[in-house]
Amino acid sequence: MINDFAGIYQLAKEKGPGKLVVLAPEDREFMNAVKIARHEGYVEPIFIGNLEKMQIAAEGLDFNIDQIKKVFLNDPQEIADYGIAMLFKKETDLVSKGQIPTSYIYRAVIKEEQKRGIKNNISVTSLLEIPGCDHIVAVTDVGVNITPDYEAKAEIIKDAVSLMNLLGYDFPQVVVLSANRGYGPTLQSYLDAQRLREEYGDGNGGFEIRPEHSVAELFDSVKVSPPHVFLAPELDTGNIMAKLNYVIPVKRCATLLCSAGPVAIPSRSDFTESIVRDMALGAVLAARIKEKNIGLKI
Amino acid sequence: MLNYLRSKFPRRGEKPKVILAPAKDQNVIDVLFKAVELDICRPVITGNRELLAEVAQKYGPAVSELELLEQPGDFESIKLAVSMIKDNRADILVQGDTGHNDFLNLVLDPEKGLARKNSCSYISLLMSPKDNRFTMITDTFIHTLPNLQEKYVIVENALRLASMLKIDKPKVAVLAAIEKVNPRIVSTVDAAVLSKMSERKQFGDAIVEGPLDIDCATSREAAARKKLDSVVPGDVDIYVVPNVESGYAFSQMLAFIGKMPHAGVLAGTVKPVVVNVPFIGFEEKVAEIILSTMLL
Repeated sequence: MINDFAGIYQLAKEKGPGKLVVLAPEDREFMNAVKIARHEGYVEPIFIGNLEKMQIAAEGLDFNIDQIKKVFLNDPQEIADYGIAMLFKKETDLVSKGQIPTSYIYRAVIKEEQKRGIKNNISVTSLLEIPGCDHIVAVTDVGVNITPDYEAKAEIIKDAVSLMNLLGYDFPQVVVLSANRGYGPTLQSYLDAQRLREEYGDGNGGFEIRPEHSVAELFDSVKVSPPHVFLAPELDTGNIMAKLNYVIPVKRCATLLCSAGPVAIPSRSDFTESIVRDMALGAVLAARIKEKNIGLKI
Repeated sequence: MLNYLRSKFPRRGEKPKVILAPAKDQNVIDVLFKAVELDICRPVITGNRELLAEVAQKYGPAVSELELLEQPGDFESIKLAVSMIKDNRADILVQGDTGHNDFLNLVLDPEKGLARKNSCSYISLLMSPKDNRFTMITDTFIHTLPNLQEKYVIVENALRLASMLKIDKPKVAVLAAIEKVNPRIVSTVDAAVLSKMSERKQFGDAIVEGPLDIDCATSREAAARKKLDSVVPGDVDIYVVPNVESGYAFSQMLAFIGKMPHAGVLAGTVKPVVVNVPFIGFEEKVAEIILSTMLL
């Protein structure tokens, strides 16, 4: 079981380099992250994007990108489609978002998934390293589903559980969050939480749904330990929970685990250190998928 | 937080009367008597006969100004407390051990209660242990999914609290999923309107900025990476959240993972009301009574 991000870096080094397609590394922080992730042996990159912008991004970084394989495209949707298609054709082990809006990547992944009839829903999971917590904590969905319904929530949990399984958490504990507070009408998030607990309460999904519904219940008492997965009731909550690293001492990384492999999802505002972590996580997940032979069969 | 408030905002004038209704839970009773011990207020307790006898025995000898009012049921206790406040026989209402719906439905009733129509919101108040700086997150309790008009009230209420806490030119981040205005995402449009109102000085000296996603709001550098030029990112006094789900999780992450002392304030009532929200520590509950006296 990987308990912290140091474990992720170590494993990425041991198992790497994974073949990484970077979608539009047209920004200095992203380019620097690729340089470091490559230097550490986590990834071997392929670039898709605009040559001039990539060259400008690499300027002054002491990173000779001439040796890197490149595909020249300008349109963000074409860039995303091309890179994601490579993942589904097994021409790469993982993909990372560069300086393009995430919506293009989601669209490309959904298109490939639907073409194969594998998944109807995708989600982005953030991993947090929290001081004093003896394991990594996942928060999901932090990227795709604005107000997921019950069925979507069940799918989102399964995606996060698959990810945690790959990190060695065999039977993750899940907390379904809700701000149901005994005032006003009962929230849908609470009803969904009850239903998910009824449906998966006996552990038949390969995970446990815990009875708590709030962060306070889990971090207020020494008797209760934090879960492995937090399911956010809607996207704003997921997004806020996942990106508090500027105000509280947590570290984070994020990935979209589709049926063909991981897509690292840094935020456009992220800095090098955080983007390297996203890439290292992707490399670990890709390696574990290969080892367990659970990737897409083509 | 308690010591900071006591030292920065010493009581002025007569000690207010704080009425606890219904008094059942020992913890809340202890909180009130701690406030009495600290010379913050005078206590009025409503509850059933047995409980009042226990309170009289435990606290009576030491508290000369103790007022005990017998009411057999919770609802009657709350009703009595509200009527006393309306008649100026008490100043501040503290929720005892009773369901939020029972308590707040009566207290927030525009005719029978202590609030004007659509005037209330709840503010989570957190304090940085590093520099004692206050951060507010609102609305974290009353509105499930506030509309623009309600968000306007939420901002005004928070600014009033900021002024009481002597926060000069408060900076307000109106949060949304993204930092760009998208006509299909209501929270971004609401945030932009509030921001425009601020530009036109409709919030006085306060600077209201939005929409901001959480990374832009919390870091000036992250905002700069998204080409956002504003003085608010990384220096926020008040976060206005798009819905209660996100407010609830946000405030609890800061409080329990960030280990920031936290309390809450129900704002917008005609007289102060302290809501008995769970997961607030003993000292912070006493601090809530101090905050309520500042609202008088």
